[in-house]
This record gives sequence, C-alpha cells and structure tokens, in this order.
Amino acid sequence: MRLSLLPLCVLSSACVAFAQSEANITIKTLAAQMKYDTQEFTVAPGAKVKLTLINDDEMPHNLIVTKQANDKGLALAQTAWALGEKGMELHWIPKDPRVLAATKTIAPHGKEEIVFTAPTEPGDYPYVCTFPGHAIAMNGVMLVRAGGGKLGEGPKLTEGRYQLFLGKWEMLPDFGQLKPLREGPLDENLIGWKFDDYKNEFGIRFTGNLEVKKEGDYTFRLASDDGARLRLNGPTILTQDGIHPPGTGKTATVRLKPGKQTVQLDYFQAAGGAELYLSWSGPDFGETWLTKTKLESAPKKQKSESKTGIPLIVKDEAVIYRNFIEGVGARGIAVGLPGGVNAAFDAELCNVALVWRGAFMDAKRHWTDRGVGFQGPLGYAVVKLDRNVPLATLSAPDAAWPPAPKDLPWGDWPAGYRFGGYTLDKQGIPTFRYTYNGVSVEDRMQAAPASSSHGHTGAAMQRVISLRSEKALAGLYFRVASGKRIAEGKNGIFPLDEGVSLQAAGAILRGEELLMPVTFKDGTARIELSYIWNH
Amino acid sequence: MHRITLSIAAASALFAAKGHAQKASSADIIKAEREFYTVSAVPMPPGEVLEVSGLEWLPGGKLAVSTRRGEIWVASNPASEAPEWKRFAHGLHEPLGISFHDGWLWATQRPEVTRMKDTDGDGKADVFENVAAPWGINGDYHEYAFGARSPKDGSIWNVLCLTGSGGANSLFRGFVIRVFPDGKSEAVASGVRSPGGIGFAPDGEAFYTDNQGLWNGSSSLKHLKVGSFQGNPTGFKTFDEAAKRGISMGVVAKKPATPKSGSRIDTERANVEEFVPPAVVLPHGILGHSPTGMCYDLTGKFGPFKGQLFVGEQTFSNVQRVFLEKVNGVYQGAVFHFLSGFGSGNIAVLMTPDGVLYTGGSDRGWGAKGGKPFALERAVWNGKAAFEIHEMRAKPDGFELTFTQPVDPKTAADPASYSADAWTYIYQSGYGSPEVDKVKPVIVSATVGADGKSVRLKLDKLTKGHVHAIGAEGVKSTDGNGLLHAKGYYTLNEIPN
Repeated sequence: MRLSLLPLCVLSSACVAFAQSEANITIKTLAAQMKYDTQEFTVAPGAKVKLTLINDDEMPHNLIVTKQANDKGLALAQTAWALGEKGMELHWIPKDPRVLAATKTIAPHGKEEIVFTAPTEPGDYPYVCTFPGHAIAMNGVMLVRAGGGKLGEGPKLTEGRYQLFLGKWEMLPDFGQLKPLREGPLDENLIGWKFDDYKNEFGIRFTGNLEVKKEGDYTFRLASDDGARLRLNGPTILTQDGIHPPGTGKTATVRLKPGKQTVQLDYFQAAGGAELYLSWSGPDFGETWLTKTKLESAPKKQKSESKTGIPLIVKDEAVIYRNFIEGVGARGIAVGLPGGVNAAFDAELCNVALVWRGAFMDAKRHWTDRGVGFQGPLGYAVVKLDRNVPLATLSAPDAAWPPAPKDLPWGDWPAGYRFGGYTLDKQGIPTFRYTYNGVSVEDRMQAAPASSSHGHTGAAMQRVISLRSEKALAGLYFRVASGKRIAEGKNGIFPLDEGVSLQAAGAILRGEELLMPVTFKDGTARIELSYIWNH
Repeated sequence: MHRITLSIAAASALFAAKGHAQKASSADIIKAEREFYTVSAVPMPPGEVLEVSGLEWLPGGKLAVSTRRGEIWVASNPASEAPEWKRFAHGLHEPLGISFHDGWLWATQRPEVTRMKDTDGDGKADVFENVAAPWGINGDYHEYAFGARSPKDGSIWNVLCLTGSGGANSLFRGFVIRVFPDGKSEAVASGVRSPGGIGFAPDGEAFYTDNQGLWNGSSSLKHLKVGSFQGNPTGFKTFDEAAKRGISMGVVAKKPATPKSGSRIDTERANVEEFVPPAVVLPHGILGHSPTGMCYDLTGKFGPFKGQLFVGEQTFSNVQRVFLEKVNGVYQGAVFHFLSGFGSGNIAVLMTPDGVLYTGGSDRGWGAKGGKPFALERAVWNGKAAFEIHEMRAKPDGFELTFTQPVDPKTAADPASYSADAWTYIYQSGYGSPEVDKVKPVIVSATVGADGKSVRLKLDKLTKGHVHAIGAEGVKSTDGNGLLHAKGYYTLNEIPN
C-alpha cells in the first residue's frame, strides 16, 4: 500500500513547485479583546491569497495588509485616523500606496473575503485594524517566505537517549526510583524502540533536547498505548496515564524562549498494542514528529481554549479575577469594570497597582494545566501605579515615604496595614476595604464618562478613597503616584504616562512623588482621583 | 438475587488474585461495587466549567460547590434530575475548602481565609471579608492551601503546601495554621509536604492527606496533633524567617530535630520528639497516587460503615474507606478499596446528613483515570450491605477482622483463606520509595468469634512500623459470597500490649 502511493507523492509535490502557490487564510477577531486570533501567517512570494476576516467581536473592525514595515502598521493606522469624519464612509482605508489589500468595515458578526496577490519580495508585511485606537493591539504580520504557505519541518531531538525498565504497571511508575535494565542513545534521535525480546510489561524513559530559535507558542501532541507522560524543562505538560488505546492524543501549548529545552518522555506498555507518538509545532514550523512513527489522520484542530485563551468578558457587571497578576503580585485582585476600564488591587500593600483599558484578563494561564506563573492584563494602555503602601504618616512634609516592603512572601508585610476584603454593589463593582493604624479606608473605582478630543474616544476611571478615623492623625498623606514621569500639572491635572493624565485636585508634587494631604472633617476624609486616557 | 450473587462471586474471584495488580478487572470491580452503591453524575450548569475543589452542605438541603477557577455555585436541589444552579461568588483565588457557619460561607483561598455573605438576598455574595492571611505566598502554583472547619470551635484549619515539590520560599509553607472566627491565628503543626485535603474526626481531631514525594515514601493519611511534626523538614526555613521578624510560632515554637534521610519512620520517631507517624499509609500505586479530601459517615445511612472515614483519590478516580483506632495513644488503622470508576480526579468529598456521599474534582495538571476534565457525582447506598471487611484491629499477636456479614465458619477458620504481607518505605529526602524490608508473616491460626462476624488472626510475627496487607480471599459469608474487596492495609505504628 505504502509503496504504490510513493510515486504519486513525488509527482504531486513536483507539480506544486511549478504552479502558483495558493493560500487560504481565515482570521477572526476575538470578542472583547481588541485582537485578531492570528498574529502571524506565512505565504509564498507571489501567492494568490484568499483572506477571510470573521468579526466575532461586538464592535466593527477592518483589516488592512500593508507594505513592509516594522511598526505593526501603526503609521498607516494613524493616517487612517486622520481621515476624521470621512473615515467612516471610507471604511477607514486611506488612499495610500502603503495599502496592499483591505477589507471594508465589517459589522459585528459579519465577514468578508478578499483575494490578493502576495508581494514577490520576501519580507514582513504587517496587517492592522485601522479603526481609531484599535491598531495598538489589533495587528499581525504576513510573512512572505520562499517555500511559504506551508510550514516546513521543525527541529528534531538532540542527544536523545532511552532507559528500558521491566515491570507490570497499570499507571506510570516513577522511573527515577527504578533501575533500568539497559540504556543507550536513540537511533537517529527518534523516539521509538525495537525490543524483540519485550512486547509487554516494559517501560521506557526517553530524554533529549529541543532547540528553540524563536520565542513563541509551541504545541506538543502526545498519544500513547499505554500510558505516557511528557515533561518539558521539568514540569509535566502532558499526561496520558493508564491503560488505553492511543486515540487522537492530547495537546498542550507552551510559551518557550529561545534556547535548549529538555524533554523527558515516560512511557509504559502493559499488554496488547504498543504505540507512542509525540510531535511539536511552533510559530515557524509545522507539526514535526519526534517519534519514529507519525500519528496519521488525527485531527489537527486544537481545543479552542488553548488557541484563543480564556478571555474574561466584562458586560454589565464587574468581573473579579483574584490570582497571581504580573505587575501586582501574588495577592492580586483584578477588576474588570463595565465601561471598558480595569484595575488591579494588591491585597498585600492595600493599593491599586495597575489600571488599563480594553480587554480585562485572559485566564488561560491559570485555568489550564497547572496554572504556572503570573498573568498580566489583556487590554492596552496599561498604567503602572505604585507598588507601595497608599498611606503614610510623615513626621515632616519632607520626610521620606516608607520604602516598599522587600520580602512579602516571607512576611515583611507593611506595618499598620490590614486588608479587610471588599463589598460588591448591585453592578458587582467592589469597594476594597482596609485599615491603616486605626483609619478605616474604602477604595472604589468605576468607569467615568470620557472627554472626547479630535474625534478620538478616550476613557477615564474615577477612584474614590474614603477614610474614617476616630482620632485625628497629623501628617497623614496619600501617595497618588510616584516616579520620574510625573510632571507639574495645571488645574489639578498631572501628566502621567504618554497619553494618560491623572486628575488629583489638591495633590502636591514633591520631587518624584505626588502626595495628597489627608485632612479629616468630622472624622472622615475623601480623596477623588481620575485616570484619564486622552485618546 | 441469584444473578447478583453470581456476578459478585465472579468479581470476587478476580480480586482474590494475589499481588497488587488488578489488571483488566477494573470494569468488573466497578460493576460489582455498583450493586451496592449507585453512582450518578450531578447535572452541572450547562456550558460552565466546574472543577470541583470544595463541597459544603447548606441549610435547606442545598449543595455549595467551590471550583479551582474561583467560583462558588449553589445547587438548590442537587439530587434532582435538573438541579437549579446559581453562582454565589466568583473571582476567588482557587478556593480549596469551603464551610458554612454562623450565616457565612468560609473559604480557604490561596492567600487567605475569607468569609462571604449574601446580604441583599439575591443569591449572590456581596460581602467578602478577609478573616486572616497569616501565611506567605510568592506566586508559585504549587503553594496550595486546603482548609476545613473544626467542629469544636469553628476555627478553619489550613494545611499549606510547600513551594514547588521540595522547596519552602514563603512563610509557613509546610505548616498547618488554624484561623479562629475572630481572625486570630496560630500554627499548629509542621512537616507537611503536598496536602490533598483536610478533615475532622468525630472526636474533633484533624487529619489530612499528604502525597507521595520527598520524605513521603507513600501517600498517607496523617493525624494533625497540635504541636506535631508531620515528617517533611523542608518547611523548617520558616522557623528562622519568623524569628527574624518576630512572628509568633505558638505551639510549634520549638523546631523539631531534623530527621535522618534514608532511615525509616519508625526509627526516626524515636529521634524526633514531635514526629507523629502517618496514621494510615495509603500504599502508593495500590490504593492510588494522590489522596485528597475526606469525610466521615456519622449517619449510618451510607452502608454499615458508621464512624468510618472516606478518602478521595485524584489520580485513580476512587474513594477509599478507612478504619481508624488509637493504640498506645497513636492513631492507626486500615484502608480498603471502596468505590472506583468516578468521572474525574476526586478532590472534595462530602457526606450529607442523609448519608449521601458527594465527590467531585478535576484532572487538570496531573491527570486522572476517570478521563473527564471535571466531574461532580453522588454515591447512594442501595440498602444492601456488601460482604466486606468491616474493621481491622491490631492485637498483640495479630489482627481482629470483623465482617459486615456473618462468616462461613469453615472458610473463616481456615488459615489458608488468608494472606499476609508486610513492608515499609524508605524515609528519605528523595522522591517516594519502593516497598522495602518486606516480610511474609504466616497466619498461625484463625478463630471465628462468638458473634459469628469476627475472626481473630494470629500471625507468627508483627513488624512495628510496617504496613500489613491482610487478605481474606478465601473467606465466604454464610450466604456463600466472597468478599467484594478482600484486602485491608493496616499501618502498624504501635503494637498493642
């Protein structure tokens, strides 16, 4: 059977080499994430590209493929934004030689197919949504590569070795505790075995290295009969334990940095069929088998969650996500607020550490596999605020702010602070509560109406800090912000980051700190702040 | 009736096979077990992912379910074909243990003990209070915290996993801390490795499960005696770090002596004063790989096992049964296979006041035999008692087995109807251990008691500290049935006088 097919394969691949290459590309917009689901695709020079954009979002989007550039299409997008009032009717497509191909404005849940010829010159051609404000996050790149359109094979294992164990198991044993019967290098660095003497009741530990050249998401697929477990750089990423047929396998996608990755694949065979398949694919190569044999006719489609992530969508009610948050800490509480703004509170320092616009959080990191690591915001225009305590009693107006606690995991918790929790209103918006040396504090954020300038829509978040104290506290200050970026403001509005300002009436700029003196009246005090994204 | 008898006899013959492997018979085992217990899936809210991490029975017959994704769902009629689900809370940090007390729902989240309440009656919690956050976390996924409420004083006992498999990079990793309702807290035990669940005995004593790994030759059920050391010294770093910062160590203030790696638990018990040995070893690979939550049956409505403990198992998707006794002041006892074939990796186990066992969990990160990514199931006793070893008690020269049904005097009095094996594990800083120091005790005599339901086994020798696997493969009930599960695994920390 295989022999008779072989000449055909040779023939057909030869034919393809002479024909114009074709590429069918489908790109979707991700709901509430201001993102395309595909950030990169590869086509051959001069290929006929059929590109379908499916808009799964609740707002309109387009897609423009541009000439070669290293700016993710931002310059072209800015040209589009300059169309101003005319933009809408022109589908935000400027008359500009940089435009290679473009879809029209696609309404929510609509789609459009465009056909164009890829440039003959290999290179990186960005594509971007040119709706005002979208381009920053909503972009990708078309890679024109010789031999492109179909991804080639990736690297194989290096330094592949095996250890053979004998035993009768129903589940994978810990081979580390067992003595191998024999061990040695793998033939051609391919995972497999040829033990004429052992057909049943054996186990093998395979080890080797994989070289990653480019940082990105790599997908591993494992199928086995009977059990197998794949460890990558230590942790288990795929398990198919127990006694079972191979099926279509399980996949896991991991983000890898360039360099050597260590692979350990444990496998055991009880009785009956004995099969083992392992592959990997990456941003610049297709599914590449690391085993001697390939798993044929298996569906290539991944689980949707591992591909698109698990975006937490904020609608009419606030969404809370308490987890390890990048830029916040191990006791982070992120809040997605109705109105398109978000904040993350640090329950250890009792302060807001981040505010941002757009999409809230992607829970994929923590809600799949073992949930390793810290996850940052999914949206854009992230403003990093203090990672220190919000309140301090200063002995003099020029006394130094207490240094940020150094070793929180070991208990260097800020003196005088106690996180109290939060209450939710009817919209699910939290009011955080904490105490500081007898002062009861509430901290609440909500989306505020944004001012509009030059036709670009901005955003704003209002933050109200309410304090109560039985006794008067002299020298109590609230630190609104800190760092080199803060500049002298006008009318209580201070420039913070590029395109972001902070409204803090009554705040005093003290070097690189913006401080608000807290004065109690009838035992209460109130601080109002606004974070304003100008466009 | 005839059909049932036959199928049990057939299955029993399969289990009676010597050795640990029960290969190819797992479907038969499940089938035989289901003659006595109906296991059914609880319909979950459609489209939602409920990786069950905690279970609690609420007033009015409602079931509260916490999930690894940080939600709490309440089913107002969990036994019906279409339970009515309502999401009570979301956004929690992987709560592993919930309890209802004093009008609040209490949860152990990774960073703290929280209590929450619905104050406006819309079925959703709107107040979330930090009761206490006395331990450190650094963002390592392995720093799990499991909690359970003491029936004695309402304190929440939190058993805190190490950082990673073998490190301690945050305060109180590897310790147990109880948090009182007023927010005061204190450390009560050290030496924890990787817990899977915690629970309380009817007498108010706390127990937890710890997973095979560093300093754990096998997984086991451990007694959390106040002031005890549980065997893994990795967390000792907290003694120095707490001292630097003036953080109180309370009843565990005295750092235990460091045990010697490569030794045996029974040996090191003598060297480490605070060391409480595992009450019941859950032999790794035989009973499971990853024990989790637990519950007692105090109702007597879940079969003839009133007062016994049921322990969840994640990897094998099982629930095991444990009989405990106290000998020379130390808890010990036997574990038995009980129910297998659950849908996913069991994490939480709950007994309702009506004697229905709920269990659920997920296979995320480690895999489970059940095959489903998450599941919630209930087991209901059919009212018919399986022929099982009911209790296994240590005696100065052997064991006393009681059975759930009268035994056939002929087979029960024949020593050849029984098997005995004994072994222990290396107590070491490395990962796990093979079964070592194997002993083959000889059954010298088997004497049926006057009650007709118990048998006194005399062994030629008992080995202190060893797991004693005692099988009664040849014993028949007076009805002629073989045992549903023929073996018990008894951890002989102490030999009674």
